[in-house]
Amino acid sequence: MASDATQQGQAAARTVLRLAVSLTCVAVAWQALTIGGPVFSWLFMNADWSELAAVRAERAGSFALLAAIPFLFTRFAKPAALVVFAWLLANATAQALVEPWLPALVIPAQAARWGAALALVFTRPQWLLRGAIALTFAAHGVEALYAHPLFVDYLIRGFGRVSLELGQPAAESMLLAIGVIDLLVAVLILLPKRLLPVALYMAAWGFLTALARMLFAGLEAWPDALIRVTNSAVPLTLALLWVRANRESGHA
Amino acid sequence: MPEQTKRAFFGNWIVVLVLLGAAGIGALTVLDRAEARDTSTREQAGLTALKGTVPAQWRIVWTENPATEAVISWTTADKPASAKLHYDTEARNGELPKYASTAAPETAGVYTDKKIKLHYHHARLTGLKPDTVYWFTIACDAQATRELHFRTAPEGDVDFKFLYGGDSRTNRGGRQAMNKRMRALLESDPAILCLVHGGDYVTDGDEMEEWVEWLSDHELTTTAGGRVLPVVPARGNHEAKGPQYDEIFCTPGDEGKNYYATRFGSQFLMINLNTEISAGGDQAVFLKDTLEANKALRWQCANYHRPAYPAVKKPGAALQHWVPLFEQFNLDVAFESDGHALKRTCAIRGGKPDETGVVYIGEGGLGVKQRTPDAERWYFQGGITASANHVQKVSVTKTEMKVESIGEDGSLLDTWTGKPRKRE
Repeated sequence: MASDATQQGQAAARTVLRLAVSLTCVAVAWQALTIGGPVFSWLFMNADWSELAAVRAERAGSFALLAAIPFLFTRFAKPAALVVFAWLLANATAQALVEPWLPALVIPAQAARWGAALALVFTRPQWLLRGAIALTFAAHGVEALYAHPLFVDYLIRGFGRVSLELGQPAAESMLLAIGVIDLLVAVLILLPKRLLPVALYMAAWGFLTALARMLFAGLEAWPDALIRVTNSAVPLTLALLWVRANRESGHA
Repeated sequence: MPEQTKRAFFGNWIVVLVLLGAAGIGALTVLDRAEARDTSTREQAGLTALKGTVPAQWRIVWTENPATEAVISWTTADKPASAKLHYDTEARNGELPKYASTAAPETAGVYTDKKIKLHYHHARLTGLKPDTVYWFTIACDAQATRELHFRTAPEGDVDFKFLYGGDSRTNRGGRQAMNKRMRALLESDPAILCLVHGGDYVTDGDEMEEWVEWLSDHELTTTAGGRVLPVVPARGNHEAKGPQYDEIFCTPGDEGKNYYATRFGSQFLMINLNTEISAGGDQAVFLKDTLEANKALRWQCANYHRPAYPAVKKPGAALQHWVPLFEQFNLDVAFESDGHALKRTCAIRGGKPDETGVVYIGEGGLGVKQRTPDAERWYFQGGITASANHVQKVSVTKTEMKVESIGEDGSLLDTWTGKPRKRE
């Protein structure tokens, strides 16, 4: 039987996850309801639905996300999390179908998002969370190695904000290093040994890269940052679980 | 594991699998329906068939110097033993030996595709006379096109017109209708020089099947008298991947970059940018240098795909990296596509309405299904936005630039007129 400390750790981790999934729901729903999301785009442009029908379908999904939030904190958390997971996965799938730039990477890149929701369904989601964040970092690592144009622009603008001029070749070189590190930590997080510094690094980097959206485009880009909250919340959850578990095994 | 926990565990997984299965079946059903619909709309509309070595899908690509240079391109189903462009400043009625000049394709090859094997041919013409009608016939083996012609851009300080539009993807019927509209405009107004395209020609830029349809449909812009509408292309997000865009338009603006500036006459510059690569890197340097070097010109415009001030979606990287330069150099008009709506913003400077600012026009209406735009956005106060397929006719004179938005049925949807202004 797990000790009180471990149970407290699990409770704290679950709370972080629930909050992160809730914030993700708000951001996804906000984007869908204000500028339209990928499900709308795919239904309207690719599946030949009428604009009204596509808007209604996406609104239904968005309201389902918002409605699910309070239930995530009740005993109905599992069915609510399943609804959120299904819609987030549908979003990722639709995004992959309409995304022209490396579409195969979209679903894994968003794995932390839909994986976090799915993790709330399970009692012991540690490996699911590890797999999800590994996929997210690996996909972003590959995008960095391909010098994703937006990443190049984030770096150039980020350096520009502190009055440092960064040329495109330098930004692309930095992305090469970032890509390699992303891939490396994606592998390390999957090792059987619980590497707390890796989880903490991923949490910090996930937070910084989510924040980069607002540094780039201003406060108006808050949904872009918030939608990526699970990129830091998932490794943070792992870190919380591992801190307690490591203490436990240390005491033992 | 206790029985209750085990049951809950497997129960959860069954629900997950059922959800995934249902989503998968749903997606496949809709995809199948969409595919069937797509096939049923493949009307050929009397277009030149791709058969043997018959030269088809002709197009003229203009890049930096349309007064003296042009690339004339075409497609054949099979590889011809001989391919040649015959051209002259006099009409020769297709009698090949009478043409004063010939040009062999500078580059030729097979379009990249897994299923379709078609051949492209690009003949580059240089040293042309400005503001001159060139008559030409494309001959491959024993097959030849009818005699076609185009007018080179003027060189001096003269009046001219051009068309602007983007997003001719996904809806073939709409694209064909808009191509016919452009042909009607070209027939009724010979002062129109070309079409400046804002990108998103097709849905999947690495699927040659879609490009084949676009290329065939482009023939609908050729007038009954054989006048071809040259294209000044920009890359859209749906052509972001794959080499097909370069194979079709003969790599406008260098491989991997696809940005360049087009000079019409002595006083007008169109800067064609690529929103599918870094906006803030080398391209921003190019933009600044080009604006700086040409600030003495009366008119400066830009053409690119993802908008800085969108009618539908969120802004692209142009807002952060290009708009400050547009405002610094008092750009006259930024032509934008991507949103699938008609728009004209108010003049904007520093993120606010300002009469001295830059006007953003376009959003893509060359046939793509139109969306309902967000008319409440602040930059449409004093501007307009609507859901309507359209093309812009831009008339440039010494004293004004007039941009008319024309609907699929020929109706006038909007007019904006700008005056020359001082630059930095």
